[in-house]
Amino acid sequence: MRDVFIIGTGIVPFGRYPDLLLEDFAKEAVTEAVGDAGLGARRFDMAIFGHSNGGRVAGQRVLRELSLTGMPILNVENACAGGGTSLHVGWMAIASGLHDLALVVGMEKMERGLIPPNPGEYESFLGKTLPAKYALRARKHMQRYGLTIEQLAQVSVKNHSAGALNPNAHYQQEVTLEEVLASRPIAEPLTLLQCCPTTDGAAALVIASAEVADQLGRRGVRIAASVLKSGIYRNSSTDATASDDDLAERAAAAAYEMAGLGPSDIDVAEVHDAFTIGEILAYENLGFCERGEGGRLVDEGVTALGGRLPVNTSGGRLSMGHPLGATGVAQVVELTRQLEGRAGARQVPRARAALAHVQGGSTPGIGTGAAAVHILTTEETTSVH
Amino acid sequence: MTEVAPRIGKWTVTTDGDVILSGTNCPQCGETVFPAHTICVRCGSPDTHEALLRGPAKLRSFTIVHQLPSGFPSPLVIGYGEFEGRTQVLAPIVDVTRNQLIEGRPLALTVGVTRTGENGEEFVTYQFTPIEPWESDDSLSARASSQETGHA
Repeated sequence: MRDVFIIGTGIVPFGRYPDLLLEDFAKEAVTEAVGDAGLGARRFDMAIFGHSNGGRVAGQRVLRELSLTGMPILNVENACAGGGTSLHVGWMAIASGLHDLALVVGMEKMERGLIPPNPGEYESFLGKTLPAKYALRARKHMQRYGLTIEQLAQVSVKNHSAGALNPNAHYQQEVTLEEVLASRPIAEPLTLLQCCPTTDGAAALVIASAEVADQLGRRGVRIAASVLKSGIYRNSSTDATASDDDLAERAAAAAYEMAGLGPSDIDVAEVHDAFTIGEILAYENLGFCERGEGGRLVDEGVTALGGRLPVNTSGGRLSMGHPLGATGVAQVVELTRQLEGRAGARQVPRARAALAHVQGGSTPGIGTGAAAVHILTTEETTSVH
Repeated sequence: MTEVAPRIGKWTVTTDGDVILSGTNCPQCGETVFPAHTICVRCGSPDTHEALLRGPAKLRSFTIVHQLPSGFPSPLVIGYGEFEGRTQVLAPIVDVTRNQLIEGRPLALTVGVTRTGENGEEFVTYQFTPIEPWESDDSLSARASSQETGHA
């Protein structure tokens, strides 16, 4: 496998764009990433677009606006993990030696309110909404490990605090613990401010082989690991780990092995906090703490800005918003800029290794449909930043 | 008109009024699942047999859902019931009080209207009901067909 580098990043402010087409704002993210990479007249070998609601050949519709045509363009659907999946596909194309320069875009224009279930998801037919799915996981964790509703709510407080510093976040204001707990219940114990809003957004990455990265003087951030996994059936009564947690655990273990790093080497992370409990479980599944200790990590401020391992410095899904396919790419934009020292007021000092985790898509019996974990590292040698 | 909801698995009601779920068991790995799988979802064996699940089930995780698609009573209690350590099944929990929502609590399998469709059609599904009598002053949910809409 060849090394793959991230040589350009772009993102549009996340929010609501009722009067714009998906193409209108997605092309802005692409334009920023292309400019950031300093590509000049160089053409992409391939482009991958992650989205769930974009409709047929949405990627081609976006690139047509920019006269980027003719190369293979792939449209990838993997629910909340669509963006991470797209980066994995781009990484495969370059790591394998097939291509040298690829564009990876995550984008989404969301419907308002609850995401409508698919007819085949029989549990949804019985009332298991997506917030309810996470609420059931939260209740289980409370019963087994004593997680408190205050610890859950504190995740929202922490992430909104970071989001208040991010000009690209949908909601840029801090919230108090009392406000989180007093907001209306969605699926108990999760309240409104513990659930990601419905948000439109787009983010883009330019990735390249070492040869092309060197030609452009952009050998700054390397993709040290790129892993995509799907769920395996787990019996929640007899198996030690539930499907959703097992999936993230397996993806993370494979990523650490590929990168030759462990959880203690990670300086900054973006994890899947579509709901507050998702972040607590991610800490445990990614090895940031022992199982059952996720609530304590928040209590002690370990994962806040200024802590030992800041998590969701972008504001996370809770503050950024969660345009399904855009999220995985937006996470990597945030982390790349952290490693480049370009994260502004959210900058984590001396960040050299970063981890991005997304997972999503309900599949009855086998839990979450897809999880992607990426580990990024700095290459000190020829960094231009 | 009352219709049976699609794709949520098969159940029967005995002459005694007992509700029985029809899942599958895999003789190769021993796993029991519901709804039925022709190919074992755990080990891939194509040799699964029918396995019947009878109550009471034990309450495992649960949530009180407040934001719901149209057609559901709100709030709606849903939860996982565990059948003799074999498998867990998700279903609405009806005629339940907040103080009955305790892990390990026995649940009877029942049948009732879970939701209504766009044209007012009623979807009947399997449900759970706590075996202890419920206390009316703390009602969380009622059957969708009932006039009582519940209050949290």
